[in-house]
Amino acid sequence: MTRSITQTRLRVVLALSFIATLFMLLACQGKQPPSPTYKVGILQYVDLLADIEDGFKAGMAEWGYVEGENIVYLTRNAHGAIDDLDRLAQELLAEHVDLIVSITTPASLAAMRASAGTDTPIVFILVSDPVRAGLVASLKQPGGRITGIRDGGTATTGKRLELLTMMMPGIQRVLVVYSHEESLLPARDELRQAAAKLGLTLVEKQVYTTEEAIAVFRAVQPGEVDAIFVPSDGIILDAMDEITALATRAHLPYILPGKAPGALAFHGENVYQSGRQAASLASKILQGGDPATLPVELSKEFYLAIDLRIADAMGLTLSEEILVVADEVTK
Amino acid sequence: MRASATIQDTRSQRRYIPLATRLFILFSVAAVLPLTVSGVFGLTSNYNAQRRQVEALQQESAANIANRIDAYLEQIEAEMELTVGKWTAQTEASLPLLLRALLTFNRGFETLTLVDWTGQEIAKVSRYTLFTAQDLGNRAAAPDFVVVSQGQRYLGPVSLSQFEEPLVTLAIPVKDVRQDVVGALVAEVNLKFMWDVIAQVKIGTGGYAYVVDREGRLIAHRDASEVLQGQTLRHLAGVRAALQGQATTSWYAGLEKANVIGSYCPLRRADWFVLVESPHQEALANVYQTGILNLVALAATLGLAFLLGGYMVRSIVRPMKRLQEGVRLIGGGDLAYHIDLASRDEMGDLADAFNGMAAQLQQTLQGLEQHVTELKQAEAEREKLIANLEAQNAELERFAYTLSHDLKTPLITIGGFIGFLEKDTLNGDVEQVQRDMTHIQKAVARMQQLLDELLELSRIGRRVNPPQRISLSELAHQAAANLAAQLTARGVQVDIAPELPTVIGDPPRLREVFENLLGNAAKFMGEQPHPQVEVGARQTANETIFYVRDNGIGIEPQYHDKVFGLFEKLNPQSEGTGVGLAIVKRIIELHGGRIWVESAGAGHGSTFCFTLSTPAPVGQDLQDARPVNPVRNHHV
Repeated sequence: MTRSITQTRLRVVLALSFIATLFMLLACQGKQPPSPTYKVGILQYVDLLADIEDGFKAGMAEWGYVEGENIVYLTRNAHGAIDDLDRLAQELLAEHVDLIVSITTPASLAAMRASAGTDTPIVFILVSDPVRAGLVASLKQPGGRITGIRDGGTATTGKRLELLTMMMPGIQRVLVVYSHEESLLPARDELRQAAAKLGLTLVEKQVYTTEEAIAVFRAVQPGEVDAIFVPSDGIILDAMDEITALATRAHLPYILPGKAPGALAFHGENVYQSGRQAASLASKILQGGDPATLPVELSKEFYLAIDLRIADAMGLTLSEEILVVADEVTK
Repeated sequence: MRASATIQDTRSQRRYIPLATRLFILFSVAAVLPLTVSGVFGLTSNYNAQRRQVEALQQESAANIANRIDAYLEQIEAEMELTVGKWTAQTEASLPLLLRALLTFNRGFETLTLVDWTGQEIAKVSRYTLFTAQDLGNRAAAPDFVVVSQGQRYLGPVSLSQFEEPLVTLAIPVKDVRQDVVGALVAEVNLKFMWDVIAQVKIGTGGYAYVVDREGRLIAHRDASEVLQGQTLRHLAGVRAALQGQATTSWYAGLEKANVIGSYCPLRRADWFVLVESPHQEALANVYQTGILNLVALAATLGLAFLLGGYMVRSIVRPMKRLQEGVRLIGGGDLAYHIDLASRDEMGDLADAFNGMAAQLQQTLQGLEQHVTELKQAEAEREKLIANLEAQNAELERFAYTLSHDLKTPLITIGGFIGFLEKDTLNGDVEQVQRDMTHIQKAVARMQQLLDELLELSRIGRRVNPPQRISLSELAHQAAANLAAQLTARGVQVDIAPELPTVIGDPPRLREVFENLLGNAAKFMGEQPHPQVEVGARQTANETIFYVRDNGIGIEPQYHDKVFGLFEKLNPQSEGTGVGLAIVKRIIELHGGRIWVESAGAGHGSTFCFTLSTPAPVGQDLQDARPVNPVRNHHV
C-alpha cells in the first residue's frame, strides 16, 4: 500500500511539475508587471513656456508613462515671479516627487536649492548654459543629480541679432530690455559683441520686474529705435503683449527666442520638442539611470520661423534674404 | 550444493535493485537516449542554421544602415556640389546668402565655409553663430583644404561641436569649367542625422545598431546619451574586429547587452563602421525554445517512462509479489493456499502451475499421512497383540505352575494313600484299606475334574459356535433353570430383568457366563438369611453394562482382580477348582467385552459387571460345529 501511495504521489508531483513547466514557458512570453506610479513635479517660471510641459507629457507618454495611470504630474508656476520659485520648488519636494522637471535656468537653480541634501533628480529644459550656471560639472558628465536639455541660448544671441538685421537691412538702433537675472549676463555680453561686429547700436534698458519691462516698452516712442531684440529672459518674455504692441505701433521688427503664438518671428528651439526630448532623460532616470552620467543634450529642433501675415498686419516689408534663410515661413 | 552456494554468493554480492527501478531505468534509457541524440543533433543544426540566419539578417541590417548613411553623405555632397555649381555663376556679394540657403535646406549643416584657391575663406555662415567678415581666416594649412586643393573630397575626423555634439568636416573642391580647382566648400556636418537613421532601423526586439568612427568612438546610437558621453568603444570585441578588418561577426560583450551576436559593415564614404548587435538569447530564441521544447519532451518522456514503468510494475511485479507471497505460504506448509491471479498471461500460467503443484503436493502428502496412520494403527495393533500374547504367556506360565501344583496335590494324596494301602493291606486291615481306596478314588476324581475343566478352558478360545442374535434375558433364565437345584438348595431368589438387550454372540458360551456367575452367587451367600441374585443391565454413554448382583459375602477390594485368575480360590476350603471365573473372563473377552467386580468388601455382596461388543468371533475353526459342552455342572 505504501508503495502504491508513493507511486501515486510521485505521479502527481510529476504531473504538477509538467504543468508548472508549461506555465513557466507561457509566463516567459507574458508582459512585464505594470510599473509603479511615479510622481513628477514640474516647475514653470513663466506662462509663455506652457508648451514645454505639453511636450514633456507627450514625450513621457511615448515612453509609456500615461498620466493618471502610472504617472502623476504636479505643476507649480511662478508666473514670472522669480522670488516664488524657491517656495514652489519646496512645495514640490514636500509632495515627495520622484523627479522635478525645471524649466528655465532660474527654475532649475531654485529646484536645486530646494532639493539640496536630498537625492531628488532634476531634469532641466531651456537652460542656456548649465555649466556656467553651475548646474552641471560638464555637458558630458553632469556629475550630480541634475541633467537636461539645453538651448542654443547664449551661443545663438549673436546669430539672432544678425537675423534681425537681415529682416530689415539698414537697422541701426536696437532696443534690448533685460532683467537683472545673473544667468543672462553672458548673453548680454554676447549681444554687445555681436552688435559691435554688426555695427549696431544697442539701446539697453535694465528692469527688475515684468511690470517695469511693460513700462519700458510702453514708453518707447516711434523712431526711437529700429528694432527690438528680445532676450531669452522670462521676465521680459512675460511682457510679450507689450512687445508686440510696441512693435506694431512703431513698425519695429523683432525675433523671439522661442515659439509664441502671434509672434512675427522666432529663432530658437521648438520648446514643445524640447519638452519631448527631456522626457527621454526623465524616463531613463525614473528607470534607475544616474543623472550624473547622462550628458546634457541640445534641443534637437532649432529654427527660424517667420509669420508673413503678422508682418503684413504690422505693415512691415521683410527682406527676401530672411525669407530664404527662414526654416519656416507662414504666408 | 556447492554450486548453488556460489550462485547465492554472487547474487548477494550484487546490489539489490527492485524490478520497478530497473524497468524505469530501462524505459528511460530507451526513450531518453534516442530523444537526446536526436535533440542534440536537431539543436546543433538548428543552432547553426539560426546563427547563420541571424548573422545574415544582422549583416543585412548593418549594410542597410551603412547604405542609408552613405546615401545621406552622398546627398549632402550633392547638395554642396549643386551650391558650388551655382557659385561660379554668382557674384561674390550673394555668396553668404547662397550658403545660408544651403544651411536652411539641410539641417545637417552646422557651418558652411567657402574658400578660394589660395585657401582664403571668402564666406562663412553658421546655424548658431554669427560670422562676419572679421571672422574669415585662411585655411591654406587646414587638412581639408590640402586634400581638396588636389581635387579630392575630404571627410575629416569626427570632432565635437560647441554643444559637444559629434561633427564631421566635409569638404569638396570647387572647379571651373576647365575642371581646375578654384576653391573649396567646407562644411561642418552634424552627425545627429545618423541617430535618426539608426533609430528607424529595427533589429529584432532587443537588437540595436551604432556607428563608430575609425578611432572606435561612438558617433551614432539611438540613445543620444550614449553618444554624448563621448565613449570610445575599442574595448568591445566587435568594434575591434571592425577596426582591424577581422571576421565580420563575433560573440562578445556588446555595448548594451552582456552577450551578443555582432555584425558590422564599413561605410563606403567614410572610415566608419555600422555595428549591429543582438542579444544572442533573443537572436537564438528559436534555438532556446526548441531546446526547452526538447527538455519538456524529455521530461514528458521520462514521465511516460515512469508511468509505463509503474504500469509494468503493476502488471508484473504485483502479481509476482503475490506469487512470491503464495509460494512463501505454500513453502511454509499451507498447501491449501490458492494463488489468485486474474492475469491471463505468463504470470497467470505460472500461478496456475504453482497452484497445480501445491494441489499435487497436498494430495501426495495426504496419501503419505494416511499411510503413516495405517502404519501407526498396525503398530498399535501389533503392540496390543504382543501385550495380549505376553499376558497369555504369563497366564500360561501361571497356568503351568498352578497346574503342576494343583495336579501334584491329588497325586501326593494318591501316593500317600497307596503307601497306607500297602501297609494296611499287609496288616489286613480291610476297613482301613477301603478308606484308603476311597481317598485315592476321590483324589483321582478330583484330578479328573481338574483335567476336564482345563480342557474346557482350552476349548473356549478354539471352539466357537456361529454367532446368533440372542436375548440375554432368555439366556439368564435358561442358566437359572439349569442351576435350579443348586439355587433352590440354598434358597436363593433370582430376579432377572425382563428386557435385557438382545446381543449377537455365542449362545451356549454366554449362557455359561450366567451359569457361572449365578452359581458363584449361590455358592458364596455365606450366612445370608435372604439370599438374592439380581441380573440386569444399565446403560452408560457408550456401552451397556450387564451385571449379576448378589447380597452374599462380598470380596475385599484387593482381590477384585485376583478372582479372575486361574485356579484362584479366595477360600481354599470352598468347592470347585477356581477355573470358573477364568472361563467367564475368557468368554467375555472373546466377545470383545470386559469384566470386573464391584464390591464394598466382606459382607456387602458382590456385583459382577461385564460388557459385550458386537462379537466378531475370532475362532479359526468355525467348521467345528460341535455343540458346546455344557458346563452347567461345573460351579466354582
